[in-house]
Amino acid sequence: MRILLVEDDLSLQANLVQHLQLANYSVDVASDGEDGLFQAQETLFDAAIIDVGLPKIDGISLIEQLRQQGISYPILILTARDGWQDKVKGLDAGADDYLTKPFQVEELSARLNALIRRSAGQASPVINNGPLQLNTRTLALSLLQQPITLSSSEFKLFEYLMLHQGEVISKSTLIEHIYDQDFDLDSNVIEVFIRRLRKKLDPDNQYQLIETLRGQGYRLRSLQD
Amino acid sequence: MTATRHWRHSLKARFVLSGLLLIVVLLPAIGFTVNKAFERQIALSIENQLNAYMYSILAVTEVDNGDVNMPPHLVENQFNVIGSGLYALVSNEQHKVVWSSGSFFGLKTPTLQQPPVGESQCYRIKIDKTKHVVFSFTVSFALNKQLIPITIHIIKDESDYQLQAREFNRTLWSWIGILMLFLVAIQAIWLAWTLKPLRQFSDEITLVEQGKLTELNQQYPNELNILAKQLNVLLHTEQLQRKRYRNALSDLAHSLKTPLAVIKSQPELNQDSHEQLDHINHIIGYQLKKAQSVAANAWHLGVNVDDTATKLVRTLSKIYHDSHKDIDYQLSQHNDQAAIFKGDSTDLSEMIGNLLDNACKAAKYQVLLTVETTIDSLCIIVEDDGPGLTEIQQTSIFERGARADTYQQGHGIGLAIVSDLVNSYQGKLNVGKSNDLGGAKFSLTFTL
Repeated sequence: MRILLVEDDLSLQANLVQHLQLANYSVDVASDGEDGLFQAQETLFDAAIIDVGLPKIDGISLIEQLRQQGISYPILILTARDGWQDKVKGLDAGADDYLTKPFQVEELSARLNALIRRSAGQASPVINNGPLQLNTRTLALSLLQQPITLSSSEFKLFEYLMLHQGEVISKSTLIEHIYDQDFDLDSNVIEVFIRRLRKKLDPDNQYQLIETLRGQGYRLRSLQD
Repeated sequence: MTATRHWRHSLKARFVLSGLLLIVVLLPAIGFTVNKAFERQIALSIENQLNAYMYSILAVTEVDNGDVNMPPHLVENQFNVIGSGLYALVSNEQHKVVWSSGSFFGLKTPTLQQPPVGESQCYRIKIDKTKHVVFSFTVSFALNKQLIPITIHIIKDESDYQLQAREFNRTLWSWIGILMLFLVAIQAIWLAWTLKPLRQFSDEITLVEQGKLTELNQQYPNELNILAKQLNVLLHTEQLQRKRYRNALSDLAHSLKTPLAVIKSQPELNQDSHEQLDHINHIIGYQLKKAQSVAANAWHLGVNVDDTATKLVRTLSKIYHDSHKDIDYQLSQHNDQAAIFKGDSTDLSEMIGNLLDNACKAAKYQVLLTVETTIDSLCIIVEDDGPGLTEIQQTSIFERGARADTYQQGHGIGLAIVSDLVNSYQGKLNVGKSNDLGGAKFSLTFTL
């Protein structure tokens, strides 16, 4: 999952990036409202974390502008101002949840996780697909109740596919959602990861889990059907 | 008691009272005076007329050998016609009537007064039960060096004068009555016109209090315009100061909490440090929120409770969307009057927001917010279907930072802030059990 973090306090920003990356998110950062707006317009993120007190464009105005431009991914606001009027203002501007500073980083990732799931139509942190079960909170994957170990990149890719079962996802979309801005984009890397996933999850191609649609992208078969 | 107070404290009532007193007392007094003056004028006129008659009689009076000789017919014909109402009598020194005009024929001689020689006297008598005016004048005729005093009495029936006076009286009081009605109408118009700016002023202050206006219109007469301008300056200054103060506190919160967030986000932080940081955070949060309350301010703009409640219910429904907890909201207004909280909107949001947030945390499925208004009070009730509170919890829950919860997340400094705010607005906070939902019930009551 690719996240935009807009936070002006560089120490907090660095700590959050570190924690979110450990939680398997790809994180793009911006330190002011203008940069945040630019990045949000340029890239299709899965969610954004926006601090309310930002230089250049404040967090509430930034959220309003993003929503006016039709950007619909979930937004979580970070605020030191914990008055109810500030919360109402933030959520009315278009944010989906808020977190008051200071907060436990674990709570941030749990809320983020819930927002991303909710936007993908998943209520539970556990996503099932036939014999496969993915827990987005504990980052655990199992096949027929046997745990399967994935690398961080493989997990990000598979989590995205699990959240969009049955949908055709282009290679560029996968790259956009899985890697942050510092990643050297090479489309071959997706093919490598897909190959590895097939090998780990469906070595006999018994389920025909990940389909390749030439010229279009990949589709994770929904095994519930 | 209330009515007396109303009369004493209402400018309009004072105007009406003084105006009515002017009409009810002054106009009749004028009428009475005019009437008295007219009666006096009639009396003088009668006296003058009788005086003239007396001289016409005196002119033809002759005294010979002690006898009074009068011509058989007098020039004024009314003296000759029997019962005409105008009579002339002459009496001698012994009060004996020695002559009477033909008109006096058949009438009983009344008791007449006899002024000293050379003097006249005007007085009233009754002849056959009819009021008459008498003008008596005593003259002295010199005869053979002997002075013979006689008194000429001119008597006139007073009915004509009484009729005239009654007619005048009737006309006078009719016109005074009309004038009174006219003045009452004029006064009503005058009062409405004069007090209109005051009424507008009062209405606008009410609208400002209810939060429907942010400032007073400045199109008043000069005397009120100065007051309106000063009030607007006061309102703006107060709002600006409050905003500046809140922004400063908000910035302070940001400056204090962001470093706390940095420390808390460090991966190597142990549990003790987390707890200490939470403690610091609670103290900062509580003191800043307490400092933000403006309950003690003299001027309170009214806040529409429905607007605030609707926004909070919408926000909390969004926050608790995943928990599948329903927040119902009911508004019951007295006489369809908008539910107004006479205080600050931020304080109201904090009270309702904190209660709703706690209820959502405690609830299994259902939270109910009820706003009720009566003629003189505003009641905000938050109920949930959670486990409720024991009696001990009900008293300890408002202590600062106390967390009475047995559920996962409970009532923290939020309720202590609610309690402080309710106290600062002289409101009442009651905790009990919800009859409808079975969980806790928090009721805030404010006198309007």
